[in-house]
Amino acid sequence: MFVNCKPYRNSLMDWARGNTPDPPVLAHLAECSACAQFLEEQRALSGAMGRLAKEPLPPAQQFEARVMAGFDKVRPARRPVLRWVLGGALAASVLLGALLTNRSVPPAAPIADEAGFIPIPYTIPLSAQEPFTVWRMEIPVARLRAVGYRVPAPDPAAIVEADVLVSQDGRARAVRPISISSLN
Amino acid sequence: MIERNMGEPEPSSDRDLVDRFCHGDRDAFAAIYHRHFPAVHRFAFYMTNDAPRAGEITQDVFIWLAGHAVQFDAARGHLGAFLGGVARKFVHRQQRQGQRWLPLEEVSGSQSHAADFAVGLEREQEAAGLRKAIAALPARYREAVVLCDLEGKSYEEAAAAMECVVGTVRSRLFRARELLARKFQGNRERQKCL
Repeated sequence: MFVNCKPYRNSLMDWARGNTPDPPVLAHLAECSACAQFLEEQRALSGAMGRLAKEPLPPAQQFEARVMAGFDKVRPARRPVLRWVLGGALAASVLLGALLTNRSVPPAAPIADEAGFIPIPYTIPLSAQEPFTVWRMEIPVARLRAVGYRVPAPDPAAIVEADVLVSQDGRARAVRPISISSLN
Repeated sequence: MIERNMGEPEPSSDRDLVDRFCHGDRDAFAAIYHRHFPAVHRFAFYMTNDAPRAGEITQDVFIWLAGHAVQFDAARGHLGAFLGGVARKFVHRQQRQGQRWLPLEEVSGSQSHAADFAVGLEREQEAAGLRKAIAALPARYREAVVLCDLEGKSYEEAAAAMECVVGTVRSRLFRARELLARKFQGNRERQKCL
């Protein structure tokens, strides 16, 4: 390498890596065989690097079991059945609370409106800015009937899967039925 | 106010997935693993040139993530970069613990998953020779080559991963490539003679 080659070598490396060279580099290259050789070597290296980078990896599944076992150790899985039971119990208590605080018999409300939530009769309507959460729950038909809904199901023990809109104070305000399933 | 999303689900962002698996969502963690496995494993493999060890490091990185997800701050960068930093620390930890890298003579005899897929003998030899040459580089040079040339990161991204300035990345990469080109050229000429 000549003394005056040094400033060009970084640019030549970048060129070999796919970047566009500056005109002075091209001019130097035309008259310097050492730099031309350097560029050729760097290009060959870039080609080999490119092929190396495309080498296939082992399948991710090869290590997945141990990784997921590590995850389970750190974060024990929640039991979905227990969650449903707790959710159902909470829904029942919330609905019961709503029933007890509203002494008069509420008018029957339809349940077939799948477009949105059906307010629980005699509960305070949710204002537009009021924060809320939506819980997916399984609610017995009997409970829904108890708070005034008309549910077209012959089996009172049937379970309605529904989204329940719960306001910030923890009270259920509206229900959006999703499906109904009989235990029989 | 409330609408049901009936369209095709959009792929979850890393941030969403991390939030979900922090709340115990196993599927979200599996999705993170599958999304970032290639980059983490590739880095570990090229840094060690040892497939079993790369597998161990890859697993350690994700198991570590399961317990330390709170340390990921999406405002500071992508999860991929975060995991790259974790992988780098695991690689360095192995070095510090005195687990020696395999000598070059042994590397050629070690089982490489890549060798199973190589197109031809010449390519296999070329790839094996290059991997050996990369593995023989000093760690600081090896990192620059792996990040910039094999993972395709920009100088800025590599500088962030290596915790140094861009100029340092450039100079390390230049020095590394100079050494590699010399070795690589020598290997090619030897192969031609065979």
